[in-house]
Amino acid sequence: MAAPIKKILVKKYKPGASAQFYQAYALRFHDEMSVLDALCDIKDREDASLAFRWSCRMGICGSCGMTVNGKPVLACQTPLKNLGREIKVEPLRNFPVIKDLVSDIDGPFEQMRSTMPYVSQMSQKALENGEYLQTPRQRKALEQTSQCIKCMLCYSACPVYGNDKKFIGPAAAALAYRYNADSRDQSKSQRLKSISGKEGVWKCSFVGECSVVCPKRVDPATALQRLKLMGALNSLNHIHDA
Amino acid sequence: MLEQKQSPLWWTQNIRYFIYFIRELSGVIIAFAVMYFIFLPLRKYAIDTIVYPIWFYASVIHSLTWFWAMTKLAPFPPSLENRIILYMLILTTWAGISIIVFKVFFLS
Repeated sequence: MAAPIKKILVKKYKPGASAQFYQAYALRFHDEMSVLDALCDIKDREDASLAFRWSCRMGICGSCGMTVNGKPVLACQTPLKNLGREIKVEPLRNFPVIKDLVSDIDGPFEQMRSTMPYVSQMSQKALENGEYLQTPRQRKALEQTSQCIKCMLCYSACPVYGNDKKFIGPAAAALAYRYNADSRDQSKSQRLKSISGKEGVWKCSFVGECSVVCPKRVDPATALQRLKLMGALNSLNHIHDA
Repeated sequence: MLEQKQSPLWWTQNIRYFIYFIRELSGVIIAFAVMYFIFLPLRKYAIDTIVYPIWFYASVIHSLTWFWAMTKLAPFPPSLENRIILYMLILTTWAGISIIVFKVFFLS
């Protein structure tokens, strides 16, 4: 019996062109195929020029983020059998397109660098004094937000970022929260100052879609609201100290 | 590179975006209604019969949508069941307080 066929509509873009266009491919698929498998099959058999990012194919590297039937997803984690007979594959929204399904995601990485994404020790202790210990409870406080794989699906889903590319965004905020929640870090106040302000966490209007699309359940929306609370308390402390 | 501009109809893409849009729009309507009541001289045009119900319904919608957003910030794991239970508790408290305020300030 011949394998069933699905129609894959891919939004393509040739560098230098003024607009994108849809190209249709007919794909014979089996139940175990993911969207990534379909794209690789298309690239192997039909269109070697099709450009898309992928690496681990198991949902850990975050490379294969794209929009499938209007939703930002990881292509390797999206089974074909759950989608309709016609599948629309587009590059991630809110990012400039380099070619076909490859987007320029440098902007959010710059936002992440601005959040001081490292454990900062103001008072270093000598090696012979041992490690910086954490209890299991302290470790658990940063566990959820440490799962972020920087796939950028949250930025694609965020209408605030879609409107203003200077907004710090969900993943950068989740990263800042991860380090602020770390008991070993001693730069919480400076980090909060760097992520507050007009384009910082206060620009978030709590749409919540970033948490819905996150494949690792990082829940950046909650991290953003908690950072707002931390920032407000930090400001009160400063006023009190002054 | 090709810039992708956000569609002005982004809020129609799914129900969550739509609820968010209604939440924000109801806030704008409430703000306009408050401005209307502050600028008393404008009330000579006597459109209170239109403004009052619009203000009321916008306030209810705004409250309902924000209460749902608030359940995300619960101190316990926000599974859907937990969020629904918390939402019901918030609505019950809100209804109770509203009845008390109504009785104290409007019926007495």
